[in-house]
Amino acid sequence: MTRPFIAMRAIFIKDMRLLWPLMLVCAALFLLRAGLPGPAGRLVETLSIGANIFLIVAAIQLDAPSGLRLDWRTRPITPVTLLVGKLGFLTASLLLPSMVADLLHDVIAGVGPGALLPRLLDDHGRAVIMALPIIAMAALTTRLLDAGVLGLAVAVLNAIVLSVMLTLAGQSPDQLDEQVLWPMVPVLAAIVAVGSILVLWLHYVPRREGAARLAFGITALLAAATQAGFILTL
Amino acid sequence: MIVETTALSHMFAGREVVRDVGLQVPMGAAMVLLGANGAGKTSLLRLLLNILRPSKGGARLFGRDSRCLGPEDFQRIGYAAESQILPGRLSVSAYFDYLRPLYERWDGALEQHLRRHFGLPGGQRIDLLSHGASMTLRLATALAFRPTLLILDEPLGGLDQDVREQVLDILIDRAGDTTILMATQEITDIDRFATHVAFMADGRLLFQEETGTLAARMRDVRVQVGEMWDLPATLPESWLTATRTGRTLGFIDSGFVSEAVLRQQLADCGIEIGGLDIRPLALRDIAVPLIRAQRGETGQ
Repeated sequence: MTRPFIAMRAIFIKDMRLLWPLMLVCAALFLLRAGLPGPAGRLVETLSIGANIFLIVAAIQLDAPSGLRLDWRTRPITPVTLLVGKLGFLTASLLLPSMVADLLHDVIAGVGPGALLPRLLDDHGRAVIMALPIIAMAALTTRLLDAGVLGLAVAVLNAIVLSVMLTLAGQSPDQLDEQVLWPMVPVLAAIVAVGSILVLWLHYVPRREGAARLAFGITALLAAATQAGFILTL
Repeated sequence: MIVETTALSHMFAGREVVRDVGLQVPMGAAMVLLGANGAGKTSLLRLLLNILRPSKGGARLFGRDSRCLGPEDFQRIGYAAESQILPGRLSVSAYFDYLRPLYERWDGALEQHLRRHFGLPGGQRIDLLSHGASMTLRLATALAFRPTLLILDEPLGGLDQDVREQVLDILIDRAGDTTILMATQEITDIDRFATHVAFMADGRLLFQEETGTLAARMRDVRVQVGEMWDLPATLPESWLTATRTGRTLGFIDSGFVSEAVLRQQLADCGIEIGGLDIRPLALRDIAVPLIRAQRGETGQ
């Protein structure tokens, strides 16, 4: 086994020892979410998203790339090894259990074998893209609270831009159903994914924290501008 | 030189916290880096370890630019700091389990010896350890892979006498095989293992030298003077913490050459010598006035 792989495995096991209760909660919520219909299902879905975000932020911030006093900084671990180890942990603790739970549900619901894989890839591809900015936010901060404040600031900024644009376009939020917004989603997803990957690359590879923060800000503004531009064309 | 810095500087919040430092640590040395709080010791160590980036100048460890230090270098560098954040919810044993595979030269027998020596309870969660046990855990994990260079930041801070003795015993045991660079304000007993001393104040490195030559030039001086004598307004810069008590003038001479030279200096200051007592100093007795003198200069 190569040294980076050994380090990744050590990080993975350490994180599992620290976060296994939360992993269990997330896995249980995945199973419940897949099987519960109606309002109860929506409640579990919300709880599941919250628990997932909490687990992502906790895993990244256990060995935050920003902190000066964290133990990993003086251990034989490169930042890239650390990031890959964390992504491996998140894949094993969130993505795989979620896929297994949905697969079980689809099989029980009688979804045909030909439709199983496309459904899985579609749903979980979107989940991965949604997780990227959360991972980026967790990497830019050292405390859960700071990550929460950053996330809230981005959400508020986005909401303000959308409200202004909707007013300018003379639209009401009720008119914007999923079908109307759907053409914008791939562009928005691409901006968020590329921006988040750039943030992580800047932070973990050349270790340019300032540039990573700037990239995050630009990504948030671009995402808001994309939505604004789309609304104005409606 | 295992550690060498050239005009190393670092800016923080618009202030130069490390200024033009040229530190040299020879292979096999046990260097104690002294200085009051805020002198720049921790920042200097963080620059050496590539935790901070220099704003000017550079540092080399094992001949390699500190900015390029990678995992292969950290296989040879042990670091323990009072301020280091450990994964608090892990048990002591789980923490060792995590670290063991990371190091090619991890010595299981040495790990067991260190754990026994420090009495580290394997099942205890790290965040529930006492301050002393937590510090010894940091030290044990920094030593168990037999590092070539051990960098310690305030390892003796707040330790009770028993734990301090345990730490010092281990440092004395490792000194020689491992080059040690230790930043500290705790100067009791450091002469038991230090071969070199460096002193920082206000971000600058004021001096660095072997303890032998430092001890040779530092003397505790007591001068019996005439009854009507006043302390001169200006004294030689090498006289530290000069005080007059009755007819006795006491100071630390940091540039002692010989009794004859000292008598001449006293005469040049217009001091009539009734009696002269010159004594060599232990490292601790040297460090205290140096730190006090620095605090006086920086208004602390």
